[in-house]
Amino acid sequence: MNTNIQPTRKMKPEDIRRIHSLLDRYYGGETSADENRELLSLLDRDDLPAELHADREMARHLATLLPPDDFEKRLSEKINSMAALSEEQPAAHRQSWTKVWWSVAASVAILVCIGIGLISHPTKQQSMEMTPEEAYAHTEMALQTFAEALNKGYAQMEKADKATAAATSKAFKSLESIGIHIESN
Amino acid sequence: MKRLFTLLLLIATIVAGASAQLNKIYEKCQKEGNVTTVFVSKAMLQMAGSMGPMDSNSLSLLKDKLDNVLIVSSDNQKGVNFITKFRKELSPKAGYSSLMEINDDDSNVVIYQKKLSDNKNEFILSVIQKDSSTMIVMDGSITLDDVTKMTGNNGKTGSRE
Repeated sequence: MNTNIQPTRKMKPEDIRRIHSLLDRYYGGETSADENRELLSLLDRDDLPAELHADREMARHLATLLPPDDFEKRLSEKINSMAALSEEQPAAHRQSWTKVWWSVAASVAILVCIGIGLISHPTKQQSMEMTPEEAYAHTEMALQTFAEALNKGYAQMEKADKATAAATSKAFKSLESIGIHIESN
Repeated sequence: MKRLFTLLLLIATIVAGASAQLNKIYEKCQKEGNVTTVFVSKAMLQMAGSMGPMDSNSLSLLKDKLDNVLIVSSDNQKGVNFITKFRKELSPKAGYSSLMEINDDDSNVVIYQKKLSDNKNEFILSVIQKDSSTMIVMDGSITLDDVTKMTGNNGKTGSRE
């Protein structure tokens, strides 16, 4: 009587190491889709060591938890809308900052104008130290000097005018003496 | 409201600019150590105009028409050089026009005018002699006619006689 006894196959050590490596990353959510498929394939083998049976059950159970069909699409749309919203907010933020900067600039300009007006106002110490009589005397002297200069100028202009008139008259007489008559207007 | 505020601000700036011109000249001359400066402000002119009795022309000038008067004088050569150099700044580019220039044996006299904003003028009389110089700056709603009306037949002001 012959009894065929199939020897128990044992998983290769390198396969076991590969499973452990994949499981570490699998539980950390770091495996890719291909790695997930590889892991499930390895865990489905008959020669899986007994200590990994619990991991096989866990992996099979997790594999059944699939997201809805349009989950990825909805998630993508949500991400896009959130991205668009975050772009608008900086623009609005920039607008409000622009308004603030203009307001600040306008305020600074007003303050500078007021400052220039105040600073450029001379210290009136000299005028405040003198009495009204002294101020009047200085002003009178100034006006008198001004008026004298003007009158001097006007006098010179009048003198030039008379000289011009006299010269013109003399010229006309000279021309008349030689028989040329010119009518003056 | 915004327009009113803007208009008020504009007027304030123009007024400040108008009176700032003479103040600039004053500050410049005050820094120079070789000249004597006398600045008579509007407030002091008002007080001087309250001293009576005075003829109507003088009163009108002091109280209504003159804003500020600045007198700069010197009796040394450095002061003369300063005022001579300052004259060069009174150019058309700076808004000044030369109304009259009188040269005789011992002096050179120039009268400048600058139109300020509103209906105000600035007049500068500059007299340069060999060893002395004088510069008189007046601003306000004053005209040359107003100044000439101040003189009597002999060129003296008829304010106190």
